[in-house]
Amino acid sequence: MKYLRFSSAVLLLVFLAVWEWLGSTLSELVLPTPSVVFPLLWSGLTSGYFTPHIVQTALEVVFGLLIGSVFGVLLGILMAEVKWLGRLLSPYIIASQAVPKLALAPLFVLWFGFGMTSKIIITALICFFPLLEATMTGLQHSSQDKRNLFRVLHASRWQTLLHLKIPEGVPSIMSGFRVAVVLALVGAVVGEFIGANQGLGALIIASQGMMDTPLMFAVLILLTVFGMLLYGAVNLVEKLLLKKYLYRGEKSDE
Amino acid sequence: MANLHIAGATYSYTGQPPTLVDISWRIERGEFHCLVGRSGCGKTTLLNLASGLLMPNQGSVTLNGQPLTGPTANAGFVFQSPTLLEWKTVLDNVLLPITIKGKSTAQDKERAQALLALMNIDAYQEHFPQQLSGGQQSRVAIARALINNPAFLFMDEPFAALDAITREELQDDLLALCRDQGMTVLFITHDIAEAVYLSDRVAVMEAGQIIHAEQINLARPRSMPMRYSAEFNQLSLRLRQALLGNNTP
Repeated sequence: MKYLRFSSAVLLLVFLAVWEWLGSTLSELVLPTPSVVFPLLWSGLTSGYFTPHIVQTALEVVFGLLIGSVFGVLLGILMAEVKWLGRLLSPYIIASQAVPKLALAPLFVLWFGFGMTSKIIITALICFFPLLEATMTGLQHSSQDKRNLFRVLHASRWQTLLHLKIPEGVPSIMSGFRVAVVLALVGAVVGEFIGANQGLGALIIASQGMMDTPLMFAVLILLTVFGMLLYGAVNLVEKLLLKKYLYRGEKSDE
Repeated sequence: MANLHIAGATYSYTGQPPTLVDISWRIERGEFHCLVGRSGCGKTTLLNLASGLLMPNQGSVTLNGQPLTGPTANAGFVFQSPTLLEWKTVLDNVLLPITIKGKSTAQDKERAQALLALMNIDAYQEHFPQQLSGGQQSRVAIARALINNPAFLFMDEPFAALDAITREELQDDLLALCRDQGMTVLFITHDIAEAVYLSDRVAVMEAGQIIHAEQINLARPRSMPMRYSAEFNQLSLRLRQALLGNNTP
């Protein structure tokens, strides 16, 4: 384990060295070297230049993710529980899934303006479907034996949902959430590409306009770190939530 | 009071030949009945029918003269697999029949702990099901079935995953409990000796029919030495021959 971690660090150094070497042979406009990008990144962070952009993108991702997830899970539960509703809505769900959501981004910017609202809506829409799908499959997965158990316990539909189907669906819902988190960042950044006055995506577009490639790289690094933090946060939530489900310890002896 | 009467019951799963054909059987209050038979002969289907989980296509199942319309209230079930909820601790699993209806009281908790102690797994009450072996899980499932002091107990090979000694201990415990609570039991097993030891009456099934019924008139309470008595062996032999399709000993 220690050895692997060490190798991982060495790999990073090798990567940076190759990047530095490659960058020094090319124009700064094409590939700026790490020795240019990282100081720029640091000064941007300390001077507070990046702060409003980071805050904007983070808010869009978090709110979009929250809104999309809540609606996705709720509608997923409804569609899994109320069979006719599921059948009624599923063609529309499939149709709306077939539309590339990012292609709708210009429309949303037109409707909801250049501010945060349009990006939150795009992000929410993108996060909505993985969670809807994951919730529906998760809820329909409980075994016949367990459903029989709840029948013989005379559990009502609500009690079965609350005590069996939802807890049983949590691992599936979490895997949907994992997908949504990755997509949320894409949604927010692409939304900002289309039209925004603030945010990391807007900053990338701006740096393109100014031919400021080092700035673009700095923003890319920020986005990567942000994505990794999000991923780490999901892992943490999952560990707390799924501790019971994923227990695969040694079976104790009889 | 409670008696369970199955009359001319036939059942087939959709699009398949009948699993049960014209079954009639009667269980009086406080009796312990066993179903034996080879795998796939319809034992579990008959248990589901008797407990109201399935409805017969023809014939009827009546409880105290009232036809069943759904799962019997006031009944404990032990399914073939332990069917524990992986996200609840052993203690919470035992308390499940209470907690889905509302909050459990301190008394309920004490009772659950006493049942776990009876099943000899009280040391594991804070463990999660996946930390337990198959036999331990079965015992948790039995404790769960008993938590509400049911009048009826439907058990589908509950001891199949247990070692011989534990199984004999649990057989004795189960019989003692049934006597104390006056429980009426329908019990599936593929173990002839188990059927003889536990039962007042044994039904031998084959291909969806009851082909033989054996009254077990061993004295109660039953005890270990009885397992080796001539009478016990005679009954076991009779059941074995019935299972093999030879009705005349």
